[in-house]
Amino acid sequence: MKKQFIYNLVAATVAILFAWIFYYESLDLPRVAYLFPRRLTYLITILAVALVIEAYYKYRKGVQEDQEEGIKVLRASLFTGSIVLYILAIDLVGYFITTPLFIFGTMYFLKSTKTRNILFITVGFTLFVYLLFVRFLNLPIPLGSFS
Amino acid sequence: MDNILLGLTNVLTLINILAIIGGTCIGLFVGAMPGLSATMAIALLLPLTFGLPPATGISMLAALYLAAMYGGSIAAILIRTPGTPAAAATVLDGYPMSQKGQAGKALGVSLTASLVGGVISSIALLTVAPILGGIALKFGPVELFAVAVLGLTMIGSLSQGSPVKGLLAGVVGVMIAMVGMDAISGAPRFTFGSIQLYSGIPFVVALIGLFSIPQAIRLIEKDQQLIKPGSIKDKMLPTFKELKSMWVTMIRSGFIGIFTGLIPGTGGDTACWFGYNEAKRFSKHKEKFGTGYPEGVAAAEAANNAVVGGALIPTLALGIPGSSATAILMGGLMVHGIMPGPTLMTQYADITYTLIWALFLANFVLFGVGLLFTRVSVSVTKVPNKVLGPIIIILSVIGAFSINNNIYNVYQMLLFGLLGYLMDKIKIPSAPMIIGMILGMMLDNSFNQSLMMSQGDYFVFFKNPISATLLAIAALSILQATPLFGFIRRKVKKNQSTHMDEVG
Repeated sequence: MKKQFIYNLVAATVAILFAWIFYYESLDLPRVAYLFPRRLTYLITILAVALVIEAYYKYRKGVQEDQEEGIKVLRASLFTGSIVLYILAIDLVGYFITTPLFIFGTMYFLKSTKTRNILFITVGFTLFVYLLFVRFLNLPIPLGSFS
Repeated sequence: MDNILLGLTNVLTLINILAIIGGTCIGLFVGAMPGLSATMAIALLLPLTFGLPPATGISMLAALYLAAMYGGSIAAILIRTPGTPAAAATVLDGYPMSQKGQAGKALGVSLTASLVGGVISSIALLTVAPILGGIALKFGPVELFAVAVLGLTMIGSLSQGSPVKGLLAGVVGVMIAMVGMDAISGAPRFTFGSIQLYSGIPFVVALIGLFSIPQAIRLIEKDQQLIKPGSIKDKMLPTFKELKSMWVTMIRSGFIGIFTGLIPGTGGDTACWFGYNEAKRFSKHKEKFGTGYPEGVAAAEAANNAVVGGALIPTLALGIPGSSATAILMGGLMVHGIMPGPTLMTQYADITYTLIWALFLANFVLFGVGLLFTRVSVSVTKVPNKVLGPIIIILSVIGAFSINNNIYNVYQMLLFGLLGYLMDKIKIPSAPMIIGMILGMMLDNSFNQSLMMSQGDYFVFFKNPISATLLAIAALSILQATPLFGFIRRKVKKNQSTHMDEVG
């Protein structure tokens, strides 16, 4: 319960910081451009304070929010890290090199299915994306340094 | 009337019919996968529509949305896991039916109820939206501001858990929408010196990030218990006698679905329980609910499919999305350069009425596709979450990049995705943030225009009767969510019981 209260406190602090940054940025704006956003920063601050009060009220009353169980934190963190790396790598080496590596790498690490199936999904899905989005729909795909 | 006929003529072209069939098939399979929600499926498949004419693309997405609602019942009935949150109530009677060897019958009832609920809501959309749109056309900036405030407060205060969090997310969304060039002065706002932010943050990018990345991480962060789906051995179509016993329930649930869809912030997940509970309340056989009673399936499924048309009414008539899924449909329109709002029913009547008719037609296509492919779609309920997770990421990248052909949008999508995941962990809903981003510019422009008209008098919003009423409802929607209201409610109840005791 204390953990929930701290999370809410952090969320409220971040919201207030966000509002203040925007308020500071609005100082150089003409009146018509800052009028509405500045009122929003006040509103965010009020709601963030209300969030802290509500969280404290629930903490004192012992109100338990729904807790998720069985979360594999390390697995989720590594997967999130691989998403970040994948997206950063796209701009360097392009979508069609990073995508099969990402599919195979994450599915192999997550033990999603048999290795043979992972290989099949990797090749099949990359080909599917190429045919559908590039050949059929003519959508732009990031090609990185190969463009 | 001309517009209605124009829409009907448009929808009957080959490309639109093919798009509806395609959208329905995708929606059916996507809805059947327990890891994918209808909202996320529309967000991920939005890029598919970029190469298509606007009316065709949006019709495809609307058909997908409708079919996903039914698709969700397949997993609910066969593996006791709702394919989408909107099918949660279907589990109660659907799964016991499947255990009794009546899986086909349960799915047939679900399909028929989806057809009835969907058709009722399409008719409501076709009749109510133009009337509401006509009224909205007379609205000036003062009324438009009040409508947008109402939409935002409703979706925020009706958020599950904490209304404060819902409202905070909504206002932060509006703030994010302020990034970019100011429409009136032309001054760049909150760009932090980045040229990339001059055109603002495309809300479709934020939307793909907020709905896809957190879901992909959620799918792999827990171990999944793969349940072997039950097989469909019996006939799907219900008999005339069975239908006759359920038609009142289906129609009632249809209206419940429309009503629920109309209220911003409530969707299929609320409607299915609402429909189910009302069916049980009116039934002569209350004890049969929860034991594998077809009427239970019919009640939940007619309600969740009727939500689609209901949620589209405020979306098309007022430019206020009734749910996150309709917010994405609005995003689809915006990608094609169509600004949603009261002019949607007149200026873009060809597209809007084509969409409405497409939804009507999609109900019948879904019935046919459902009868043909439900047995096949059982196989997708077996796709492991650890396979779906990486695939969702790949589709999100394509979606974000193809909006402006810019890798910067992919980075933005990632940032919103990570933000969405953190918000999810702290139980802050992301749907109000999206709605806030959509309504942001409308709020800003109408606020400034109203103040210009009134020469800076803030009471302009309270002097206008329509605006004052809408703002009063907005204030009430916030108040009802506060502990103060709970206190008043308890006090009134106490007074009533004291009064009753005195009378007694």
